[in-house]
Amino acid sequence: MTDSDLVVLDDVTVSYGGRSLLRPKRQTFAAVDRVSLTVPRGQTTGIVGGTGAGKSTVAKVVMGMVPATSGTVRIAGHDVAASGADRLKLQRLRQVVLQDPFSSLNPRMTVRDIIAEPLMLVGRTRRADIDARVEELLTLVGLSPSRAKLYPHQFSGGQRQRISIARALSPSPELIVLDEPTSALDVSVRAQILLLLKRLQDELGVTYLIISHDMLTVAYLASTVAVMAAGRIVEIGPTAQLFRSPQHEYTRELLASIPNTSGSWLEQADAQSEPDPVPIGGSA
Amino acid sequence: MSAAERPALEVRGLTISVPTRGGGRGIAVRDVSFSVPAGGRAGLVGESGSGKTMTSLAIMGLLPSAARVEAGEILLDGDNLLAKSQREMQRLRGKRLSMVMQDPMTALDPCFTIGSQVAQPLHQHRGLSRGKLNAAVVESLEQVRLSTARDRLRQYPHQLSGGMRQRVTSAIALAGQPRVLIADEPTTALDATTQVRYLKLLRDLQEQTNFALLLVAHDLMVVQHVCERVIVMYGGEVVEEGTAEDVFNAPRHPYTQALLGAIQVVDDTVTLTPINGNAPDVADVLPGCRFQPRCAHARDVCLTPPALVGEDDGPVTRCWGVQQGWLAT
Amino acid sequence: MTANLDTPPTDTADQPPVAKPLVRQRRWQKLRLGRDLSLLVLALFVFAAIFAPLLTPHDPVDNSLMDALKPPMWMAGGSWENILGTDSFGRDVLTRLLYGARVSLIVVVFSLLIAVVIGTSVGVLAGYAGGKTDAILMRLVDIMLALPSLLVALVAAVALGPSMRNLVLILGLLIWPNIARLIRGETMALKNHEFVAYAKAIGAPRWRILLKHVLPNVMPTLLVAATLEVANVILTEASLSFLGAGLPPPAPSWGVMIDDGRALIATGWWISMFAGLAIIVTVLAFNGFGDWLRDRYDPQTRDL
Repeated sequence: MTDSDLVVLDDVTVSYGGRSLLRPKRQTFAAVDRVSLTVPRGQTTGIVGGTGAGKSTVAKVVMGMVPATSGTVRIAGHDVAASGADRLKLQRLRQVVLQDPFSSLNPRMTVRDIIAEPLMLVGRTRRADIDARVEELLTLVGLSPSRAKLYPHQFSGGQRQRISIARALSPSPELIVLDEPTSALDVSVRAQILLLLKRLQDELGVTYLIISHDMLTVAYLASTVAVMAAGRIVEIGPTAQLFRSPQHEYTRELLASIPNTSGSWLEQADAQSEPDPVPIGGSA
Repeated sequence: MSAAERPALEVRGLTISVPTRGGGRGIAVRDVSFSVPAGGRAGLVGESGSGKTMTSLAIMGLLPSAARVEAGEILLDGDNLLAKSQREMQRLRGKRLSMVMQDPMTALDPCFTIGSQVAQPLHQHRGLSRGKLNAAVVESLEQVRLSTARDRLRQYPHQLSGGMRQRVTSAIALAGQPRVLIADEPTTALDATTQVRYLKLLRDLQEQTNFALLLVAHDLMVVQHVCERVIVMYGGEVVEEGTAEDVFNAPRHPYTQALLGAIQVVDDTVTLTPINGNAPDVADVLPGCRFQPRCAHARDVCLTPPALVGEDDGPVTRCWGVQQGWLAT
Repeated sequence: MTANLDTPPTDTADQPPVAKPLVRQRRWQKLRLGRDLSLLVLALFVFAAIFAPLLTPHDPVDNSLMDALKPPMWMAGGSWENILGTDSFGRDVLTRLLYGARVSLIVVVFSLLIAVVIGTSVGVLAGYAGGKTDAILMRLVDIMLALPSLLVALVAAVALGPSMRNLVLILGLLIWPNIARLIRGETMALKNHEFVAYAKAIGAPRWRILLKHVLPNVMPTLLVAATLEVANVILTEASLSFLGAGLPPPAPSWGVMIDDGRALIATGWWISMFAGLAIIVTVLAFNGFGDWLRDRYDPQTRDL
């Protein structure tokens, strides 16, 4: 743990279930199982894995949306489980971009109000200030400022994600957690958004923690990638190294699932794969 | 064309209008024509708003009431589906024509067991009952490679993962042994590794059962590995059509080229070259080529609408540059 | 400011104007019969209620037994004096209809106001908080719904005495549980939307989430729920007034008028008939109004 590490997860576990009065036999289930991870400043750290791997839960713990059952998470030295003044500091430091462009924006708020919301929460409420900042942000993400008074449904999926990104940028956070930011977008729009994110990082120096099931998305932005499966990190390392010489078989499976130009991609990728994972809570 | 050569599914000149904001109507699908050979696999590729979903809904007779077919024919083994009544279409669905939809989470009824949901179409379309039904359900689930099929009969959808649910919906769709199966973005809601497994399953199922497959997707790469023919749609029109090899290795239309070039992996580096701008909205009326505002090669002639041209049985393209020969490939 | 590498002119304000749509919609399809008619009727209703005294020379409560049971003007024995006839006390039916509109308007508006305020607060709180709060509040709602409403209203009215104020209060308190249940369902569905999760994640206080995110999104359901309760209110008021628990006679209310003429259907059908028609038409109009309000309020359907 050095000063240049913005986020530090130390032996974090998030578990659900467990015995209670009415359910004496219920098992605990660990969505995140003793995960330790550091996110260096100014760079992108990626977490990749399949459904149920626990990667979204990690994002939620960092954002304070879900409490860790054990272990600590610190952002710029502040413990996310803290309350009071520390909580306020954390609010200024971290922001999030969620997956679904159709459900992550309040359909009854104008784009201007949506983007302004984080600003209002940190106390910047002067109308003129907000208007200027919203205009600046819209231009930054490639949307016309004149559209600030429109409603979300008047924008396409890709444009809505841009609005989400503008919203996340408005309080000038140091950390942005991106939870499957392009998974709900068409392939053709994905490239636009990824390029935008990269450009914004280069210009603003913001740190990203990106979660995705898509290896390509993570590989493009991240300098370090952590591969998760069943709540644990199974492999972690610099992106290029992971691509060139993956150690864990699950990493190999993920890499194989990227469609490539070889004629037998499907056969090869399918041969790599494990049988369907056991679903949460159900019988095998 | 003899009955043996007749395509299983043929769409001719399909044009569909939808209401637009402000009270008018716009064209969502414009003069779309393509065919799926009997026992073949065709892929319909396009982004959101390209009209591909409208097209597949029109084939199934499941267009929303606000959408209106303005022109065209949809022939299922020579039979025009658009001329059929709702009741006739309802009898067809599941039996001759079937569909797998995008979201496996909502495609299954949470109140009924897997067994009963698969049994229902088996009973309805194949007339199986009681004694033979159970065995048929298990066989159906085993065919879609659902592990421990027998145990699944009594399980409920929420106990299955997304990938498993998609297999179940596929079993349901194929229960009636349809001639044509439309898979509408079946892997969009699945994660990368599950997608691979499902696509392989789909291709294997098609090879075993020999139904005609129309795979609708927004990812060209995915379609290329599963399908023999590829139809690319943009802004409501077909802009390119050909064999999977042709379209993938030698794409002619600038949109197809841009789509393929958007995300490229060379060794361990990912390079992005996105297409600037946005796809046209249904309400946008453009004077010429629908891709022209975003095309790097556009010339004046592109302000007039290009037609779909190409050799018989060869690739066709809707592009002035290709037609007139000035577009460098 | 940097160049927009990934968005060309099509994304900015200097977009070419959208040309005329290719397929024109037929003229008559643009007319929304139900909606426009509803608004018209409702406007008439409000107009009648407000300007009743100016629209008729008669007094709604003065007895004039000499003029009893006069038929409407188009029948034999009728006259322009009493366009819709008179009732058994000689009171002009049209006049009582117009003054009755007043009663209905006041009762509907104020009792719905009470019901909406209480019902929405309870519903939103229960739906959002979940857990024990939800359980307790919903049990309260269940209890209220289980009580026989008319009986309770009767007892309450007898205890409080017949007056407009008490009537409005009683009706409001009878109606709010229905609204609470609906709103609670909507709130629970909304909780799962990502924009609510987002607001929580960035530290928005609960009151702000409820006010800015939940409430505006339950509005459409609320509007429709409220307008559907109008029928309930008007009919319950009529029943109460008949039982003596509502407005005391000779107050003109449509419900009372129906009951006035109940025994005289054969000989004096006009006494009940027009009041009954008035109720039907007004209730339908309120429903249509609710639909219009909901469409108007929702940015997605506003321009359609």
